[in-house]
Amino acid sequence: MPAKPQTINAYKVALLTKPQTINDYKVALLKLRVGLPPKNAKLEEYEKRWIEATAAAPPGVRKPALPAMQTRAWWLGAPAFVALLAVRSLAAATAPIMDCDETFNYWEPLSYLLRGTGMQTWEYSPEFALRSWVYIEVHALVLRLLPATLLSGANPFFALRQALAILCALSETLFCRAVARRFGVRPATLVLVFSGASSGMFHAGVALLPSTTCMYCVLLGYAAWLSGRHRLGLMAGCLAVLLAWPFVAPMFVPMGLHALAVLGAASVALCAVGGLLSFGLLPALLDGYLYYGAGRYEPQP
Amino acid sequence: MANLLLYNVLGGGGSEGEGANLYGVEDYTFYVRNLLLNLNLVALLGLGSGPLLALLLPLLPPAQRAARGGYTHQLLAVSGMYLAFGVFQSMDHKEERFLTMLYPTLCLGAALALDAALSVLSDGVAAAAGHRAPRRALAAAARGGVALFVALFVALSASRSLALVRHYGAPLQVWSALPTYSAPPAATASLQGSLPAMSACVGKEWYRFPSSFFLPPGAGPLLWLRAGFGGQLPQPFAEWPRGLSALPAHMNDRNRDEPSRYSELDRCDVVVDVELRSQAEPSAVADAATWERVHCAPFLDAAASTSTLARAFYIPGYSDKRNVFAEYCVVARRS
Repeated sequence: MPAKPQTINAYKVALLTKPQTINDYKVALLKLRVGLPPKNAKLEEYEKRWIEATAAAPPGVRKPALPAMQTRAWWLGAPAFVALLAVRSLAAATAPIMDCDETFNYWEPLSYLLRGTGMQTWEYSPEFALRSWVYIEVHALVLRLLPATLLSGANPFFALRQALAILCALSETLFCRAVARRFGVRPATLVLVFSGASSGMFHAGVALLPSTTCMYCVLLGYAAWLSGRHRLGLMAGCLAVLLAWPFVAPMFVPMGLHALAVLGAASVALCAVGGLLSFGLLPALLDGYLYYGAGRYEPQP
Repeated sequence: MANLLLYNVLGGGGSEGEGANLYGVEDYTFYVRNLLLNLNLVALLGLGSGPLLALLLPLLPPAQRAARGGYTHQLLAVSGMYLAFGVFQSMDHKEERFLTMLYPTLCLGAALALDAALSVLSDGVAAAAGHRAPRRALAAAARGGVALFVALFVALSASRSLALVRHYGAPLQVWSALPTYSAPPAATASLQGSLPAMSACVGKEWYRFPSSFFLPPGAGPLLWLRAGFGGQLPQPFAEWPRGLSALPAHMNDRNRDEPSRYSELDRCDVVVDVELRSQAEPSAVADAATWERVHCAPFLDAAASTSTLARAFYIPGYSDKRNVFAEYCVVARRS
């Protein structure tokens, strides 16, 4: 009689170590309480049954969220980051602004926060209050960390673009590594080349725009998702939807459904509430009290 | 944020109910054309990756499918892209930047589809064929095909990125080269009011102004010159921090022209403009008696450049021959 796996660990061992020979498969299949194929069956037939059996683990035994495979592709680490950073950094210094909305709704309010001068669009009139000052302030914080002597002339513009270049390259690297873990090294290497070389990422990667923030969140959120960290992925989605741009929501629907299936409704709801409080309610209150509503006790001119 | 949703979805709560569509409506081919410019081959393969994966993955041996994270995982990872694309496609107001968030998943979809195709061709089909020789040849051909795809994609992408910088890079260069003034120049000192050290003006090139960070220290806010635009331009914020919460005058949410925005040319110390072949009026740049060129850079005259290919992609030896370049200049008033 084959011994039943007594512990969860025994199941995990059976799940993770793939047999090599027909004899090994026989032992493994018996351990998994799966019927053996006919006597003259080929190795492929054994393999097929083993994969089917391991895919449907017994109830109560959760498959490990992360495949144990450790990527041995060294180029998906620091070399990928350095190469991506070189391309993004070049874009930060040279790429034209593709959309005047970037200037007038994002760079100009940033200039107003840092220097007290800038052009105001109607979207920033407190009467309409369509944009979030908190979103601008998050970017301004990066520049406030730099010494003031570095921030003369157009330097803040190029410094922030370089900071966005670093964030973009980092997000892309993490995304590629997660793709390697989940789908294999070959597709990950292709993603690295496609993303790194594409002209779309060249100009959009360093833009001060909510759509670009959403793109960073997709890279980081999907990286977390593909690595089995659903909660982290959902938080990236909440940030994108609530602080950057609500129309990004469809990108995160499959992740949300998958999280519902894996984590359960209660856990996902908790994530949503946490996200709503930190990326929705908090910025809205700050916008209301510190920015658009800052002068509410002063007589209006 | 709630205001943003209300404006875009419910038409601004205003009486005219137009919302986002005030800023232009594009036809249904806009996004596909746009993705082809930004991601060329990867856009095509990425958009087709869902059906391709659904078709290719079942052809793989189960072990290979499992090693790739499984059938459902792959399809799930690219499905968000289709949802988002569907939503944007259904909206009348379309902009290039709306699709930025799709770029990573288009790259992922294309990579997964190529990876699956490569395995099917080198293992799946070959296993059915049986013999070793054609099996190797098929695998080699498949790898060659992928290499060609990647090489072509990188070349097209680099060509497009270079075109962006070479054809449209002038505004960043020119606005970086604004002259600095230490005191109000003589030309404008006679005008009344407290004067900034200098005033920079822009007319029809208002939408390529990179930002106030490029104005030299001591300069006043950017001044607009009337130049054919009929919508609403931004105006300077009130002094810090009152501008955050004070209600600005002359603002509407219907993109209606506000005549109070514009200044006269005689208030300008420097002007940024470009002289295009098709323009009706001569630009300030052209008047050499009053204006001195400080810095110029070549800028693509899109209307005068007839080859779409040469405009959209930088092709060495071809683009520079076929394209017409205008001079994008900052000029200063002669003293």
